Amino acid sequence: MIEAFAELQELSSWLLLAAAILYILVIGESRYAKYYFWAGLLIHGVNFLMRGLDLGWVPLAEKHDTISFIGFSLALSLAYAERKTRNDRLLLFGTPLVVAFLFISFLSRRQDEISPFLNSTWFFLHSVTYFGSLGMLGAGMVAGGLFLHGRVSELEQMQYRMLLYGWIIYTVALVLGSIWFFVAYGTYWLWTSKELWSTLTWFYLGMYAHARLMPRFRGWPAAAMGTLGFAFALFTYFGVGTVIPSPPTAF
Amino acid sequence: MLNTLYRFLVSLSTVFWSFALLLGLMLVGSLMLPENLAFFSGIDDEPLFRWLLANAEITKVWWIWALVAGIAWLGLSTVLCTLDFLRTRLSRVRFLLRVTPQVMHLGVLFVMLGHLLTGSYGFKTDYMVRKGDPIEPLENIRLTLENLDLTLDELGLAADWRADLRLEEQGQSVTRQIRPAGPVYFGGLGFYFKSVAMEEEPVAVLRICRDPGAPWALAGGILLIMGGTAFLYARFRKSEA
Repeated sequence: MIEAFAELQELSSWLLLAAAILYILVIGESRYAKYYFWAGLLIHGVNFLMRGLDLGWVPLAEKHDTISFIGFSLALSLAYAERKTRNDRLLLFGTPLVVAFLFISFLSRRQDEISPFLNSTWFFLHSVTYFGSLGMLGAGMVAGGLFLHGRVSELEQMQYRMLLYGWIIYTVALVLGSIWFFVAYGTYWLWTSKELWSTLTWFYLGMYAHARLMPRFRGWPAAAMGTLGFAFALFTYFGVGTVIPSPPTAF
Repeated sequence: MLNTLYRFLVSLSTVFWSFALLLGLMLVGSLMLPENLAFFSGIDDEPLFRWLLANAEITKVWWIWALVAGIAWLGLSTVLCTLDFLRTRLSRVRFLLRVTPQVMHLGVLFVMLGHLLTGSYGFKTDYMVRKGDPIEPLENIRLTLENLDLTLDELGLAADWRADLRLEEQGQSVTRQIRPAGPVYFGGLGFYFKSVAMEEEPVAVLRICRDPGAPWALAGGILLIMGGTAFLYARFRKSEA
């Protein structure tokens, strides 16, 4: 915590804090909520650009930045879903999750270094699509959760859309990640818990896409299943390596 | 009887439970791998099937065999689903919406084929290479390290490294730079700069690989992306138009 406050002397940390405060104001449900949200999103984006300029590479090589980017991608996906459905509750219920990601990012220790194996265009393309897809899956979870609560079919449609977008972008991320892995380590697959869970999440989303076509899963069963997609993706990133041991990616 | 089996294989319900089975097996695997770290330590160093046959402790590897069988089952179901699709008449309006999932299915099959070839015929080995001291990783291929640049960090550890490799095969010779995540491909082999061993003078540790499955897996990945993107367009953009 002390380290986090010490880091506040840097502009990017101030920007992150300002974005978090604006997002928190959204939860207050005032008539300016949308303005706060968009201002928060803008400052959050500026922070990402500044970190990149400061480091000299796409700032997605350490947990501090990746968690912040998941929050950014989630906020962007929520904004898209809100514009399509005109349902303010998506922002209201989704923004606390964005704030949570920002604070976890804020408390994660910064390293500001990159391994030569990660300093690759393929890796950066993989990271942007991977963490971008997580935001879409998160927005799908929020829409699905709201559908389960109020049964507004439009929200279930939005969940399906966000999960399909997330799944396809996740597929792009896995392909790009495999290319990077092949270029860096000479293989596109390793037998580790991390790789198994990445594939497991892809299969789970595939299972959801097929289940939604089945009459017996229409409605709340498919929505409940889709809501869990984000949990699978998050567990792959945060849980595997901590709850389930997995060796770090290396030769 | 055959018709019943065919209907069973192409049904969505079969696909759903096949996915569920694979999820269960991967979950078991993700727990078994760290539990038996020493046993599985060599699994990535040689083709999968060669490793599986040499390490036949069924209590530890049953889930990999089951995973291979499950993926083969899903592959069969995918092929039959695509054949079933080809038998149906298509209306022009829903053409894209119905074709694109089949392109994704084809992508999955290509990825499966890639893994099968990699797991059967891949080749991977490490070499310590000294500057000016040639090696022959395969018959007819000769490799010489011509130059080695090393960047050290504040602690004196290697932070970045690159080298010039001269490769010769049947009179043909090329010199290319190699660095981490910047391999060289020559004569059907991939040369990867793994690390630098600090001996009396720095020694390059190179990994040399051949992976016949990689192009198929890449083609599958491209088909998955193309099919998925076109499906999203057909499903959402057209419905809004």
